[in-house]
Amino acid sequence: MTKKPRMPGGCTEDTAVYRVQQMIEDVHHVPGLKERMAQDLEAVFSDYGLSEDQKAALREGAPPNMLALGVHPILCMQWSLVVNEQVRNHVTVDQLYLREMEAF
Amino acid sequence: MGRIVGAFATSHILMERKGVEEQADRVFAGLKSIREKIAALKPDIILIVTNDHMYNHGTALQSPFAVGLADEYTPYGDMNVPQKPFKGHTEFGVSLVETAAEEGFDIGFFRQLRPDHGLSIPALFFSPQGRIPVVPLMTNPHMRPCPSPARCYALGKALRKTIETNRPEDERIVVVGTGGLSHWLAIPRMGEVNVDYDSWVLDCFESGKAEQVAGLDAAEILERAGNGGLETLNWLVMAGAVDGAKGRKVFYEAMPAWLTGMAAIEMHI
Repeated sequence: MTKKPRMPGGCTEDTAVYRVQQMIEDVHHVPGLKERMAQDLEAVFSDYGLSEDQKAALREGAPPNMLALGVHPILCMQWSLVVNEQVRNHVTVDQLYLREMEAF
Repeated sequence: MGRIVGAFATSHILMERKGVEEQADRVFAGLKSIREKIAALKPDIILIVTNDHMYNHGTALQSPFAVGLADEYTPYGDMNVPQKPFKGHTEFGVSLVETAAEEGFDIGFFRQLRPDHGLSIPALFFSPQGRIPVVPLMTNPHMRPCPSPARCYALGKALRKTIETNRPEDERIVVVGTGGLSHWLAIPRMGEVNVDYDSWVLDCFESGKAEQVAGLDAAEILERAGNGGLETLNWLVMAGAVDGAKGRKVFYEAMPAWLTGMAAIEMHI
């Protein structure tokens, strides 16, 4: 029987990857976490028990390296938005449109 | 019985104009034209079929489908979307969950939802001042395995049944499928747009043959349109709700700068 290739972003039995993903998701849900990251990212990494490979990939913030570790692509994208100002500024609604949308 | 009085599908992002001003402005104008059409239809409820981008529907608990059950939503604010609250409609959501269960769909629900751009951008456009209640129906293209295209089309039919059997006389519903079309997010081929796939999807929807798109395997959509292209599932739920209807393309812009084939369609019902 031929097994279908796994699609990116699948269920993972790897709890180490799950910890990375949990940390990225927590940015949006845990009060103060984003600020703690800005002050001492390494301490937050340690709190989540991340490996050296994971820490390196997260510091760089480039999706391919995170993807290679098994992080869900959407969460790779989210992390890029957290750590990369250029990405954040690009993936945002244009100010011209925002002004009009504010009046909707 | 209630009635579906309008059905549309549209991409659900907007980004920087710089470098793509003409295309971006055509997209913005297209969204505004849909906004005007929806306003003219005077809906009581707008059902937006969309997907969360793992701000709410995260790895801790995944489900193929979920409905928002709240009387008000405040956007999360990603992509700098204004955090203006808009109305929800809990009671409609409960009807949908119950009818769908009778039709073989076990749908989860959110009691607390901070909508990301996938819901908040369409809601901002289509519910003026947030006053027309919005019911979010979330597919989950980001879980694996994700719901199949055929299953999403069938869910649309169940949605129609809810409206026609369980809703008050003369309730007017507009259904909007959102997201897509082709885009690759944080995986190889990011920045590509597959114009052939996008054009084929639009042709199918325009000619009343959306069911052909529902005949694809999710893996085929992933290959041809990327992981973001799986948001086509949201379009298919809408199409199932107006099974066989023909449509008219509102806009199509292949926009690598926005990482996406930006598209919208209006169905004739």
